[in-house]
Amino acid sequence: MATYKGIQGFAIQNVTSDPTTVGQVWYNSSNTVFKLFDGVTGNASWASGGNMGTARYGLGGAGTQTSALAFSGYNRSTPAITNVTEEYNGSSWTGGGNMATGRNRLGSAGTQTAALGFGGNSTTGTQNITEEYDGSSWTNGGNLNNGRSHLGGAGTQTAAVAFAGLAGSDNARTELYNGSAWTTSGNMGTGRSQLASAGTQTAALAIGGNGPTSTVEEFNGSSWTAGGSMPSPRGMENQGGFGTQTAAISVAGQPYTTNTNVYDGSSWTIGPNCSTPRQRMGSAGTSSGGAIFGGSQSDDGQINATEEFTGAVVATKTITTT
Amino acid sequence: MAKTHQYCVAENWGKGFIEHSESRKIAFFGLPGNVWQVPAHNKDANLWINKVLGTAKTKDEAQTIVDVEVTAAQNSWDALSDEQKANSTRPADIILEE
Repeated sequence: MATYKGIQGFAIQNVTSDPTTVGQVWYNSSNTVFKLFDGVTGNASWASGGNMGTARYGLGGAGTQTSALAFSGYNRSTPAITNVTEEYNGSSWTGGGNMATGRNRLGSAGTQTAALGFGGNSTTGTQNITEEYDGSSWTNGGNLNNGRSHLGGAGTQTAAVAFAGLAGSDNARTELYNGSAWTTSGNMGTGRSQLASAGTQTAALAIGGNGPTSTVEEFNGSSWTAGGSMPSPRGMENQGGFGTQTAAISVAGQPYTTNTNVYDGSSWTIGPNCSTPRQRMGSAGTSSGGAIFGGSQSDDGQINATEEFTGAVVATKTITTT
Repeated sequence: MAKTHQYCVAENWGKGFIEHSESRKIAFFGLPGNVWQVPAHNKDANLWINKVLGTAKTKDEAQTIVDVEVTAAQNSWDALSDEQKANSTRPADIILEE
């Protein structure tokens, strides 16, 4: 009788966690089952989501694909900075509580029911204000030590990180939030603004930025190190970003692109294009399910369109006897 | 020269306007003025245009619609203060391809 080793030239491996080599068979000693990795069974793609009630760009975004939050931003038609908040349920947007201080190009973090908005530009200039959302209304939190706009943000309402941004000039400053106050942390290697961001307070990712730059940096809670540079030429400025430090998505951006890039913690691969080129959008979610909403089209025209990202589906199958 | 793209005007109604199954088969490119660029001579693209009740436009007709939107955006940008202009770029012309 033919054996696996006879066919493959090696025996079935005994492992404790599942590998991801297509066609590979192994024995998972943790689950006490034989398994097979069947590869990618569904390609990543974008689809339309529900339109926001208020078209805008430079807005904040938080949450997940099916529980996202959009807040503040700018509408050139009015023209005015808006303080409007909207909540997304995976198919439509409904109004939430408005921010006390409407802002453009603010930082954001958290979830739909525990979001954080910080910095940005209001009608009176660059702000250091932080506001916290509880699912229905916003209250003031601790102010940033360094007010700025066009900044990056990641984490949760009680463990957030703010980095980079514009305060007269591009800066590399990093601040950590504990739910009540911001404290300074290690500076970035490359000061910048208009970047995308992803991750958590102790595992954040800074993606691209003005220039545009392809520079990517990773934060560990206290210091920044270089990550894998973005491929070029791709949109690297004013793009959307979501996910984690080791599984991030960067999409669209300047100039007028629909490009999607996927980060695995060390390098970038090209993903499927979104349908509507945009920049300065809100974003939320993970690399398996994310969303972008709003933004500006043709550099200056705000839009209300939402697009939903579904990551590639990989399949590990358990082998059973019949 | 054979056409690479076709154009239509369709308002994005939101959820369901473009499905994942459609975006895996069709290269969409949204343009100002609710103009959509999709592949020419493509059955899936034709079916999508029918689904969204898209109004077919020639490249020149689509270009005119886009130009109106871009010109308005450029005029809006030109009216900004120098401080506001410093943090943004002037909307660029968009040239559609055949």
